[in-house]
Amino acid sequence: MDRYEKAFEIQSDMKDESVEDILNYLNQYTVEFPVEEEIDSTIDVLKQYMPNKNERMAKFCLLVRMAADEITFISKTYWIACTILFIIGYWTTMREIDNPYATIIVFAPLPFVLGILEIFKGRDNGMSEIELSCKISSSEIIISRIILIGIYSVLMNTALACLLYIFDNSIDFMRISVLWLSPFTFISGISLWVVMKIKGAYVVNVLISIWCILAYFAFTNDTVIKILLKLNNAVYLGIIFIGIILIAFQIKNSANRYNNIFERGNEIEAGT
Amino acid sequence: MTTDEELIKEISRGNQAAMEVLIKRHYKMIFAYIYRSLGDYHISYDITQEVLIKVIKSIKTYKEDGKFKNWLMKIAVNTCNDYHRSSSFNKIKNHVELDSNIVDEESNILDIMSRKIERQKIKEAIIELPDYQRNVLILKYYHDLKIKDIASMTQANESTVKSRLKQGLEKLKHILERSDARGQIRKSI
Repeated sequence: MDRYEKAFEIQSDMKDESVEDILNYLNQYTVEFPVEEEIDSTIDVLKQYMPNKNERMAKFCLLVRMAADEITFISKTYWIACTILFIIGYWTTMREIDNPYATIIVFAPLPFVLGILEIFKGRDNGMSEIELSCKISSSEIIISRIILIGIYSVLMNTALACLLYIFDNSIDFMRISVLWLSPFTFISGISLWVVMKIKGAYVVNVLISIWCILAYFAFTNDTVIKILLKLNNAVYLGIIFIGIILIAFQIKNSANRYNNIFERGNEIEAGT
Repeated sequence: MTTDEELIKEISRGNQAAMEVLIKRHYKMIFAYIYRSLGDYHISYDITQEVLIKVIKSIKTYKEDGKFKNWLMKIAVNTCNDYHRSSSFNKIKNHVELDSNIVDEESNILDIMSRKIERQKIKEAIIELPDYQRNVLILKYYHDLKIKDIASMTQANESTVKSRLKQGLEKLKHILERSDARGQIRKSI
């Protein structure tokens, strides 16, 4: 195979002296390479684009730190409302001698559903655009508030469950934990999904009203209450799993939605 | 020697030394392609930097198939194509610089001049080729890549690449002949 064929792997009908001349010409097209200092300066520029070590872990730590900072931005009304709910929950459960588990099921999702008002108050008050122009993105604020309200709700429910377990010997701690976790995760997931679809503070009121009506009908009917409280543990775990998936999916959705708006902004900026 | 794939793993973990080794290993290959494609030193330097930023930013999306060089060249080809379509390229197209990088103290001045002119002629001829022909010609001739790899980089099939090579050579021959003819006329005047 001659030089020409080797170089171009094409038909031999092109093989003539003039093409050989072209190859000679091509050989003369040498390249003037940048000096080492210039290559090093490119490498210095590239350093700022390097992937971070444990990027996900760093992002999670940042969100947790932000969630701690968000405590001061959550309205006092929310903290007071949750404390009142906690006291009412404890009081009614202790009075419900026949079925102490029923009331904790009703009260479990309420702190989180109420907290949704706080999570999305920036969006509902038309502040998302301002939040987007800040160093911290709108999605980061929403996710950090979900973390804060989520942790607070879990703490409230756990505290209530512990308190009931301490003061009522008939209560099985594992059972009460599974019973509050199931409605808590499932209703929180559904509520987040609805709030992501429909904008407005009234949605939370509607959700709480629906939940209270459903709970009232379920717990005034003996047959329904028996079925609900005597389900197989696997069913409760299934509900908890679905609830967690729903919450995770909404968090991911929220991150993507607001990030896309941000990225679109960047593209426009880059194009101009 | 550490393979490209091993270095990429290290870069993904944030190892800057690995990035330095990988960039230094492939810098000249990328620069040479871009320089021959654009014909301007300073623009080629900037475009090479742009290509490498894209590479580092998207390093985690690289699928380890042992063809890092091809992936790198594909990014360079696409970035050059974007630049060729830009208005800034059209502005400089007609003002290709006359480089003075061939220095050979042993040669006489006529020889140096003649080599410079020949080099300038091929540079202008290559730049005059359409994007799709220039790309395959540079990748095949200067980078000695396989037709199959060029096809994957330029998102064309192998027969298209072969035909582009053939047409590119014919066009190059035509441009160089035209340039020679102009030279003859100038000499006779």
